[in-house]
Amino acid sequence: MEEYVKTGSKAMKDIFLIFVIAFMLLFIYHKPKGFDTIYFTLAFLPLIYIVYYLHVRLFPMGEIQLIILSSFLAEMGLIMIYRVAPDLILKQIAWIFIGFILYFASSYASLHYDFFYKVKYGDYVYLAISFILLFSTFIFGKEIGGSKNWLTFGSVSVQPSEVVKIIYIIYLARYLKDHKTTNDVIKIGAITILIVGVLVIEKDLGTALLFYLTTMFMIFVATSSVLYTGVGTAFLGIGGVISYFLFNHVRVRIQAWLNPWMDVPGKTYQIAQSLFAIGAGGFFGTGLGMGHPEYIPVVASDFIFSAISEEFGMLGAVAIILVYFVIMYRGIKVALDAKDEFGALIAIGLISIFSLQVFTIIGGVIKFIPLTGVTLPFVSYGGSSMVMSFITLGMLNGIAVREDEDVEQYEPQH
Amino acid sequence: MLNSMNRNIKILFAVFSILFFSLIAYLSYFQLYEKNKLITSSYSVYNKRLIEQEKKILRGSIYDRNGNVLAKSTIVNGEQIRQYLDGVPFADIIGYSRRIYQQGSTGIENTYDRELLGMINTDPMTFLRETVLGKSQVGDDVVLTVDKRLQDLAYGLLGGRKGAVVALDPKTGAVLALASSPSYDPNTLGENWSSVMNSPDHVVLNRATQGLYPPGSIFKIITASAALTYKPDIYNQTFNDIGYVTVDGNKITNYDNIAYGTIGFQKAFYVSSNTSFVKIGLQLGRSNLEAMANKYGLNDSVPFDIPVEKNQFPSIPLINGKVQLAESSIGQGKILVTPLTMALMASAPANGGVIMKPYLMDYVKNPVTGEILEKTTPEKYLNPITKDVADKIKQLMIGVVQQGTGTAAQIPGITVAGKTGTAENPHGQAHAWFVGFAPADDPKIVVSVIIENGGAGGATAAPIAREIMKAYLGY
Repeated sequence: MEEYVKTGSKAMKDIFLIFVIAFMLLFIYHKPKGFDTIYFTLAFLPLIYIVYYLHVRLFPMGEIQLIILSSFLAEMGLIMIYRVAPDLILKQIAWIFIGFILYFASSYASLHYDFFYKVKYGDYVYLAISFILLFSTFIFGKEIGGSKNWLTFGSVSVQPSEVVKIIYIIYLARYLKDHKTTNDVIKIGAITILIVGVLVIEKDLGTALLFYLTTMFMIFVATSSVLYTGVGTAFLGIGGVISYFLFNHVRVRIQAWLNPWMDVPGKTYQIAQSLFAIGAGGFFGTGLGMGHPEYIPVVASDFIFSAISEEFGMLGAVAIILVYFVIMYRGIKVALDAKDEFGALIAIGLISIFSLQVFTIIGGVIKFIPLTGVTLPFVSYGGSSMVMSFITLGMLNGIAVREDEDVEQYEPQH
Repeated sequence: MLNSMNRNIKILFAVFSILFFSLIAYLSYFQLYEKNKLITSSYSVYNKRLIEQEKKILRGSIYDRNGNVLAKSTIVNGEQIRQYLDGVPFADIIGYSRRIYQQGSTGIENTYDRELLGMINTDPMTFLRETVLGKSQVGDDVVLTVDKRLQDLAYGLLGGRKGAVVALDPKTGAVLALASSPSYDPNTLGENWSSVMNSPDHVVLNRATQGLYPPGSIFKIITASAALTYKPDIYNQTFNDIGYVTVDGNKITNYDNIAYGTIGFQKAFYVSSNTSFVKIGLQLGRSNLEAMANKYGLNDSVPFDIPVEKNQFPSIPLINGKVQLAESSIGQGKILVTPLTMALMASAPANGGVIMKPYLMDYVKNPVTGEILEKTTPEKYLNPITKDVADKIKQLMIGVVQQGTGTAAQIPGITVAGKTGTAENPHGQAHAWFVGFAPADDPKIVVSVIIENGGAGGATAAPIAREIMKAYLGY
């Protein structure tokens, strides 16, 4: 335990140091618009320290790595946002703050995750909420950045699909725990295809892919069936081909992926600029503040990974990927250690959708797979994504603590 | 239940691990192989970073093999100006760099863009020092294998006619001259952009590497190579040349319909008897001729520092291919080659059967420290014929210049080897070809010349080759 806290404190010190150096460099190179931003930003450091010690106190057996690594990623995001769009940084800090609060809230809520299982008519409740949220964007939705999947309340825009992700995972875990026959799987498949269809029409291709694959993975874990997985993969292929011919926005994405030089001033401008940035970075990067990430469109949200690649180089980019890898590993471990099937399935759902999101956006901006606009968790600018990523990790932490608390009953208290 | 679930979760972990590490693998691949294409491709005009770099860095100079400056950048009123000191003759080799005007770049300026922008020096300490000290950076210098004197001579000898000259060192593949006419002045490209780009004479086309022509009789080098390799008996045969031969009802005649009577293989080569070579080709058969053409790289595009058009040697059909085989044997029909490829073809007999990979960049150096950053080492490209066959072909080519169609290439005091070609084509008068090398016993230079619609190769192209060999060898 002592050792554990010590390692954690050391990591926090490194995060502190990176942050101070990065902001000094940016201040020297770019002379931001006054000191206010600096003061507010420096307030971020005590904040992550408070969160860290709170975590140690409240959840001594919790997944401390999750909060350390997500703090680091959020910090990397802040550094890059400060670099490319300083105006957005205070909002981003506010979102991180809200994210921390919701992290603890969802941790506590997940300590009693049995509740989600015991909800009366749970299946219908979760599905009803999911569909209401999804269809609400059809009626009240607003198109932002080419995808009609936003709801606006005054000056705040939220993406309901982010909320639906978590509700749907709880629904799937609850349903799959007791229903594993072929008919049940077909039923889930049909519902999932309906949701995915709505998302494709709303042009939210990335989220559609995340939903589909996460469902497939959860079905695999629950049923051990290779057949379902095979059929699921086949459906994915067929669905992809059909939507290619049916929807122009799908076609544009695929064509831009196959040939990013097809129409550089137009359709493939984003991906081409992203590749220029990554190429300019090379292995060691141009150095923070010395590249030109401002040439990449929507760099603060979707393309923040390209900006990191340019200024921190491929080595920095790989470091970020490895941080996500460790988070993924911890999530898998939570699922393995979960005391019951329901908890394990929720954990698997959460970590699947999280890891797939990371893979989808990084793979997209480096042209490994077609580009779909999803955010890079904790790093990209954006409220919905930030808050939901913290809730995801909070729930994983809760499930992990729940497991350990039960064990502790048989061990002497320290 | 939890047991099998745990197994599944571990499988899932493996899947995610593969996904994450495939990202890392692809990123590495991108940085190692794809990145450079981004910098040199024509799309780089959309890369604003390179434009910034281009404004900040004094672009490196380009030199010929003797240290003559061919291109350099100077700062005039705070703006960087690119000067091409030997503009017109070198335009098709050096090309231009007009990224700042979103017009792209070509030639050496395009291929060695990274070097000229000083982007290959990856030493981070130097970079840091220069950035901190705010020193203006200079790009690296590119030194070419080309000889300015020879290039100017070649361009001058073309005299405004459409055509090309390629001269190279057969022992290394180093290109000594590569002229394409007519050309343009890259110094005034800004004002004349649209008239240059849309010129009816295609002045921006590098005829030496991108012009595709029927080879005509110079292809007989390949037919003779095939004969000596696959059917050596043919060398001792005699042919009854009555001025024409009929293949499946098609009449193929000699140049100017001359009838040579009964002649041997050597005489047939010296006088370039179509009739005899059609008979040789028919005896060889399609597979032998195709095999030899492929060995000479006639279905490839030559690897080179600047873009080269792919040669075309369409395979001869199995059935009813007799006429096509006959035409191919004398370099007519559907064969299309670049002047560069023909220079390489002639360097096989000159270099004991081995064709070296051609190259234009000798080395890249740091202009301040003089350190050599990149250097081309000569390497083997093709080996179509044995030393023995190569020596026989060389003797045949010496005969062409001494007593055949190529006497105009003679230089007093040294033995010249060569082959003329008069390639019929659908666009008017025949193209005049000459390929040759000298001195025959120790070849130092191979030359390939084409004059579009220039008539007989012996009369039009051979004297140009002679002048270039003379100048290079110092006679």
